[in-house]
Amino acid sequence: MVSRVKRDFIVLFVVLGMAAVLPLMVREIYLYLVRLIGIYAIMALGLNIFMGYCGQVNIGVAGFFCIGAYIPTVLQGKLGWHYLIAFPISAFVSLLVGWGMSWPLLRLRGHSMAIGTIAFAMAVYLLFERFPTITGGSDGTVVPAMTLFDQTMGNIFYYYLILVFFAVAFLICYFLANSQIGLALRAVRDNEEAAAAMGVDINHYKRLAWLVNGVLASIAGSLYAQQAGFINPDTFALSTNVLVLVMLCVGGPGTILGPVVGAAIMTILPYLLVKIQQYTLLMQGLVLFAVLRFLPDGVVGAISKRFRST
Amino acid sequence: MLNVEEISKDFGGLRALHQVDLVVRAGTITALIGPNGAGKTTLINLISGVYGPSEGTISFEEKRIDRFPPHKVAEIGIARTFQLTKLFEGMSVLENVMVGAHPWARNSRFFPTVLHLPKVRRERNDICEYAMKMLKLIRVEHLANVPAGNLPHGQQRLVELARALTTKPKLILVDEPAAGLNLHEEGMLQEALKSIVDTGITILLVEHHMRLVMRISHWVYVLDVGKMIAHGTPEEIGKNPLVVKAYLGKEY
Amino acid sequence: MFKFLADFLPIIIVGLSLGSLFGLVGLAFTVIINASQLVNFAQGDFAMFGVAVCWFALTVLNVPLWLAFPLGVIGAALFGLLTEKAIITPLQRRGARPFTMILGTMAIGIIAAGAVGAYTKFWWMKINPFLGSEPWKLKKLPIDHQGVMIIFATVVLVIGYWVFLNKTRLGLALRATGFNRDVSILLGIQTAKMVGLSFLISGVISGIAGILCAPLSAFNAVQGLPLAINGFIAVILGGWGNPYAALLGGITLGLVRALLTGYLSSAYAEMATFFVLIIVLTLRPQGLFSRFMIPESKKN
Repeated sequence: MVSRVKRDFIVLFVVLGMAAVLPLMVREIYLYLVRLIGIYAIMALGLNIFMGYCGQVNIGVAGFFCIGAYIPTVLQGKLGWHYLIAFPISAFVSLLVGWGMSWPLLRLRGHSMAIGTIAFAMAVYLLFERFPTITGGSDGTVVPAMTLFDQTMGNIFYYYLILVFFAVAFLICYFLANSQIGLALRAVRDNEEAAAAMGVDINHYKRLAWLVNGVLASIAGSLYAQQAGFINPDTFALSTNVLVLVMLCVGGPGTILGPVVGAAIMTILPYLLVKIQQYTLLMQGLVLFAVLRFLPDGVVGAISKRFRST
Repeated sequence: MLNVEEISKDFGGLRALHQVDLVVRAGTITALIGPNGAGKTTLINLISGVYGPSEGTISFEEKRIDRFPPHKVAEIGIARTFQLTKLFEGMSVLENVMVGAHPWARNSRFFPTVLHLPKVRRERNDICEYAMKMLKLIRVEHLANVPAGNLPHGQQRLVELARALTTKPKLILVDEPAAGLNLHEEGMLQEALKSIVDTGITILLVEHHMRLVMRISHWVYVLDVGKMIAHGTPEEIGKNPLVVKAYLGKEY
Repeated sequence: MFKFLADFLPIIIVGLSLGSLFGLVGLAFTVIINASQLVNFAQGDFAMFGVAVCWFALTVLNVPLWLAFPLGVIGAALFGLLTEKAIITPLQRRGARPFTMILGTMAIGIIAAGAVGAYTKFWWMKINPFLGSEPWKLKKLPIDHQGVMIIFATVVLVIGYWVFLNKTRLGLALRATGFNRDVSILLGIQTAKMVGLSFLISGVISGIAGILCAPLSAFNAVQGLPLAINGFIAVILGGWGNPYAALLGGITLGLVRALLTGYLSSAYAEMATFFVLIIVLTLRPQGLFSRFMIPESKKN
């Protein structure tokens, strides 16, 4: 088990290294895609901890995504606070909100939890849409650019910022998954009663997974808002919830690379296959259907199963 | 060591247990027998914290535990296995057993884990080693990397036993381990139980198979229709007319 | 007094109509839940698809309403059947987790929304009120006839559903399948077909509800999931497994929303909805009315 960790680190190092030199080699459009992949990967990684490892249901990631996007924007735009303060505050707010919502939501089973999380996401969306004076409502708000030493930062800066956050998020999830905590989460997924009998505090671990999910989604939201420059509530509507879910399912829930691969596939696919905006939703549905029907463990899951049996 | 006093349990209108008393002495194999439906698993569930008693108290080493949730019961040193095996199907056998280390794995908290601190890595290795040791005790270490869902029934039971042992318990509640085992597997089970009690761990054995019980227990309690009808040494119980009637009476 | 009624009555009618839509969707949900323990996240999309077919027939094929309506309902019903065949049965055969089934129905719903959306460019599918745009006048009180039709149709549907379930052999077979699948198989009931039937019925009910309400509350391709959520809320309010309670839950929801929208604002209405949901899920997850209705309704 130990040598596998070393091998994984080498792979990670290589990938990050390649990503680091990418801006020198390719055009902006590809960098834009990689930025998006990074952001969605962070969200998918968080969702993976809650759904893939802990076995719960969350169809409302967009709620935290939204909080993470709007709070720094409002704090910077309306109150003039510096992003170094605004970012952590939004993550903290997400932590609090997540903690508060964990009490009603985590007691529910299966489909009730699904509905509860959707309701949460929609409530957040409505909240931010209905206060146009603060949040710009459905017209959207401009996100102030970050400045460093009086220089406005550009896309390249955001690229590396996202890369750094992605690496950190990935490492956190990696260590979490391969630890005793990861075992405890999977135990909760596989058999709650047995897990409790082995000393695993079910509620504590569900809450832990839920908070990791929420905070990572929130960070992804902050990054998204920053690099987009302009946000409006529609980005945080139901479609985002579904998109991240599809990414996780396609990539492979319960694996560590799965969410990343899934994020990559579902971000690149619309740009490869479909030139017309309106077919995106249909394509997402078809991909989800195909994965559920023919590839239930996701891409990464199927590949690792193939390796294990040989 | 374990003191169950005047325990009663109601489910809606049904009284599953009525004023049951039971004492488990440290270092012994104490058996709890009785016909199907007598309430044996209910009593085990009460002790392990799955639900609380309607009346009465349960004490472990002089401390009351009847309101403890299951994970707390595991923390104070009582482990259990299940009548219908509850292994974690998404994991290998070794990983299953490693979950058992949870009550004493104090170093694996969130922030140390996420920072990948050396003490966390050390603890993981310790857990892995200890789990293998437990598997060896039960003589199933060769199954370590098999996915738990692929195991035949008898081996699943043994793995559950190893997993319960990994919690470093003082007392293990073993719930009908012999059910569905063939003769060979039953022999392995008997060996395993003997090894366990030799290491100083106390066993409360719930069983339906009289053979196994008579061979290895030091003290026997008999439950029927929610009431404790007899207790004593295996020889005394074997000759007790009430016990015989309870079993035979149900068979006709 | 007249002024009060003139304001109040439309709100009540809108509330009852919307409430009937939610309630019927909730009832359709419960049909499937009772037959097979499955939660169908594409329920709202059944209704949306029915509306889409009807709208297509009306505006593109220029088919008269009395033909377009049944076409829409048939479309919804077939869509329901397709859902069952394409995703439920295969997944069930594989022994998938219940949540995977939920995802599967979601996938089908998304495909429908995506397909319809691609064709309509996600614009509104407008259907005119059946009896024209002029409201009826009852002693100078304007009454929305579409709303009245919806209420009337709901009553007819519920009665028809009850009759089917309790007075026909097929209904009995459906109830049996939901109550105890294994025994039903032994009795010679083709349980797989029963599940398909439950999806079909669910599609019919959703389709009728959707088309009737389309003149009132416009449908676009992505209206499915929000509608499904409201239907869920109806089920949760009313009580899991009780179709008539789901209907009541939906009507309650509709009335509350209409009242809040009419006297405060629509923003409050929507937020109130979610607060109520969270509260109910927290305090009484099995639903409000589940104890007061006849217990045997739980079996379908």
